[in-house]
Amino acid sequence: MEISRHDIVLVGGGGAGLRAAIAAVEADPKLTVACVSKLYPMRSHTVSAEGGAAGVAREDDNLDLHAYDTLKGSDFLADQDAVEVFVEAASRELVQLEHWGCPWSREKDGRVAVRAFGGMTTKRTWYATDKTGFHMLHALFQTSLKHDRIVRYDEYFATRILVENGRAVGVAAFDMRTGKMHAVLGRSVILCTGGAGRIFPFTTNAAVKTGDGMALAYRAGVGLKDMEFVQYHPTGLPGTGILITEASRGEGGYLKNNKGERFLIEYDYGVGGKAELGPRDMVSRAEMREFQAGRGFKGPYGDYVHLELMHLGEEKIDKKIPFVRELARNYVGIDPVFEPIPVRPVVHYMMGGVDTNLHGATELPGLFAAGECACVSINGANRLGSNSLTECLVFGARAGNSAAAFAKGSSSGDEKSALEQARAEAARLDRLRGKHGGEKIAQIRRELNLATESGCGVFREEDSMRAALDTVTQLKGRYADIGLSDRSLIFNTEVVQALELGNMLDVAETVALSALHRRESRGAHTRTDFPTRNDGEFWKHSLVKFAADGPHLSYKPVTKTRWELEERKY
Amino acid sequence: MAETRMVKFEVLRFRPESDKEPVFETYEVPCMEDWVVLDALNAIKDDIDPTLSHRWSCRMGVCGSCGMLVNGRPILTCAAFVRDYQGTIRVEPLSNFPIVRDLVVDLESFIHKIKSVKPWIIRKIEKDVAEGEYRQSPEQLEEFKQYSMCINCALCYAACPVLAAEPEFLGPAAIALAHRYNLDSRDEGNASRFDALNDGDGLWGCSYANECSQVCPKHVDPAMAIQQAKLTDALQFVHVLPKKSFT
Amino acid sequence: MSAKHFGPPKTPCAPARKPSGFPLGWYRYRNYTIFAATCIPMAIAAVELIVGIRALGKGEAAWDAWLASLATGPMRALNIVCLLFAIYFAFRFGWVGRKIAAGRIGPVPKPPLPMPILGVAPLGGFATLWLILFIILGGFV
Repeated sequence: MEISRHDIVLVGGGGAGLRAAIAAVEADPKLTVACVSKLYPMRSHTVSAEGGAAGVAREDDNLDLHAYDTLKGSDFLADQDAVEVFVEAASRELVQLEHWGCPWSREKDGRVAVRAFGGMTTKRTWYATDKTGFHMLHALFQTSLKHDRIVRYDEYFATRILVENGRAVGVAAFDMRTGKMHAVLGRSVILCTGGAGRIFPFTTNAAVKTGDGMALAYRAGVGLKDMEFVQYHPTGLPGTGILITEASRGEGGYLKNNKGERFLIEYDYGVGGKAELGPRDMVSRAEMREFQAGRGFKGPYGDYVHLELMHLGEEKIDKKIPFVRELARNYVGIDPVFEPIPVRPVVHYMMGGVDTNLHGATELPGLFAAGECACVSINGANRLGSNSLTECLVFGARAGNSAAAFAKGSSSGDEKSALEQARAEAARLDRLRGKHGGEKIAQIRRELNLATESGCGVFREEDSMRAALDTVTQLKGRYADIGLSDRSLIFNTEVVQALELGNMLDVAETVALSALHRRESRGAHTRTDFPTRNDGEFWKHSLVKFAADGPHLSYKPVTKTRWELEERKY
Repeated sequence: MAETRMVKFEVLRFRPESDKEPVFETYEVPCMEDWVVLDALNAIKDDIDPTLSHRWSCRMGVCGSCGMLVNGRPILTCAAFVRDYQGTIRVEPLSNFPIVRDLVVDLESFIHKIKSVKPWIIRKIEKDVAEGEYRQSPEQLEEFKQYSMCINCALCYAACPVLAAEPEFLGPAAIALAHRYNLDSRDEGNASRFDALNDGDGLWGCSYANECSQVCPKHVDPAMAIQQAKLTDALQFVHVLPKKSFT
Repeated sequence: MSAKHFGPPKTPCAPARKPSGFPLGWYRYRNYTIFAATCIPMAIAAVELIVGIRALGKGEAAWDAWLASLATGPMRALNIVCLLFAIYFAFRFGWVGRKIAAGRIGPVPKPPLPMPILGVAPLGGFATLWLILFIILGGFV
């Protein structure tokens, strides 16, 4: 079995991962970072983010305002100390990225331009036309190329965190190309593997968002926090789920029902004067209620509403949101200059994830996490648009620095136990390839998607959540009898899909369990049987931990510094 | 149930552990009206032949993973609509790259070439982050913006006839990326990239096939970048133009 | 640092396949192949000119003999073919390279090099090339 030794082992090469890698090598001139990713880094899902990244930029803005907007957007579940740290570092990180070549859109005087975004009281979203994630990721990837101490292991799939003496000392990852297991050892491990939108059937997320890192941490004994909070993005294309950026509303787009009404203004959905720029959970709920009231358009993939951009004019659309035009034309055959785009809520982001503190550290010494796979939490029960790209940078850098400091302060393990674990993983992988069994990967995946859609959708209630949880538990049982056809070693993507499915089942179980037991409605978690927020009983983070007899749910307090809890009205 | 139409796909397979050379296999796939070729490949993998290996991720034309040849033409399979093709649809891995497995090609040479042009901001003195951003006017941004749109899908490499004969040619995407940085008003690294570009296998390998720009899904127009870069390079070579970029 | 040293592939691969439709199947590749093939008539034209220059050096009689040899049927036909290839080359070169002059040499806002004849309109380079060709070949200069 191949053994690679580095100082820091990073899993995931997206926005948070690359930022962490660069931070780590800049923190110390001798450290090497192994960047283990199941994709070439520029293919990571950060690339499809469109709208922008938030950071205080204008004179009429200040850190407290950004913090307050974020906190309110989170329905007051975010940890206030983390939010303070986040907003303070935000602009600095965005300027750093600009120095690294990110082509932010500009004002006439050469300064970086900012646009309005959902839930933000003033313009503070930095953007690169409407392909911000793409430009950010490529700037990070290209900058990472200049550091020889970032050693990349492209298309390596991590299957287990290696733990020795209660410390994370690396990962077992197999080279998808050769099929061989590697032990990638280090003195600290950072997880930046993104979210798990693919547990749902309709999502903006790419194929790769299967919650791998979350599952890895979970199985290593680290808790997953706030998993019930799943963000539905209000404007995804029906069917494919392709993202139509919030920037289309930020630039002035309208959402209209089948009566031609701007329903966010016409009816009371809690967004007040913000209308289309209300926070995502409220807008998504509004759309679902419009469907329930029969005011949605009917389509082959379910109901939808109209996103109208015609009044913006061709010039503004081509200048500010050209990618939206391209996507609409290619995937629904509609030119938004002349016709409205059909949109509906689709799963977009997981507010929950690996439980970390504001330094990116988990409870397992040596294990750090950042980005969508982590939950610090700054997003609480609902994330504001454009906060997550900044989150990748801020907490990616913090996790990178923390992991570097930890690595410097630790000695290497004796490797014996770690290598045994890696060998066990190699054996497990060999057994999985071409395994005989009665269940099919695609079938279990489809049933998982049906369960999460029915039980953990925009509106939830006790019975359907319980049913979903039961289904997931059953599917996990059936997963043990999975049958694979591909026995080959070289670039076997069937075994990768099987491993990803296993990760998705673990993550889905934590989502359903946390959702079932949160008997209130807060942020993106809306229950028809408990429709109000209950700060008295539920102002706390849920935490799910792995145990042999099934996942254990507990709760953690929310950190408060300066802001009092309020009713969330806009 | 939504309407589907049976479409025949001829897919090139290659299993290095058992096949001596690549071979076509045919699949009949029930396709929906708005499907792309990628949807059909996923349907094959999910329900017909799980041993088919292919790369894909975002399915919206921005990650660059799913580039393949469809009926001989390099295209992103997530942007190739089944309804636009008649008869049997032939799917092959990208040309000009060694085939690892089925529709997956070896992209290491591509990654290496991208890195060789030093695609990062190179400056003599870096501004401190506390001093804020470098000022760059919208016009300065327009100069290089088009070339910054490359998604690294390597379709241009599959299309380039020069690469067919000379696999060591730097290639359209790498040159366009170098040119993107050379044109960026914040960059001063023109001289550092000169050697990689000014080579028989660098810029000068290009012989005006222009097919790269024809297949580029993001309209980067790498052919234009190469010809502009050639002019700059030639003038720098005879010292009419200084190598250091203007800032 | 050259791009050449990227090492052998990690696993046994099938050899890279040539682009589909190259050299003559796909119409754009066909155009390119003809474009590249203009090197052959150009080589012939170059040989003719070398013979002519040698004749020039040998004196007036040799020179007149060479000019007379160019006036024969087969030579005229050959030279017309060469001319057609040259025009095709110039046309395609100008077309593929038409935006070169529109681009900047180095980034803004410093003034571009003083090359006013190429202009900054998208077709400026293309048109200029044709103008130069016309002036020289037409004997105006």
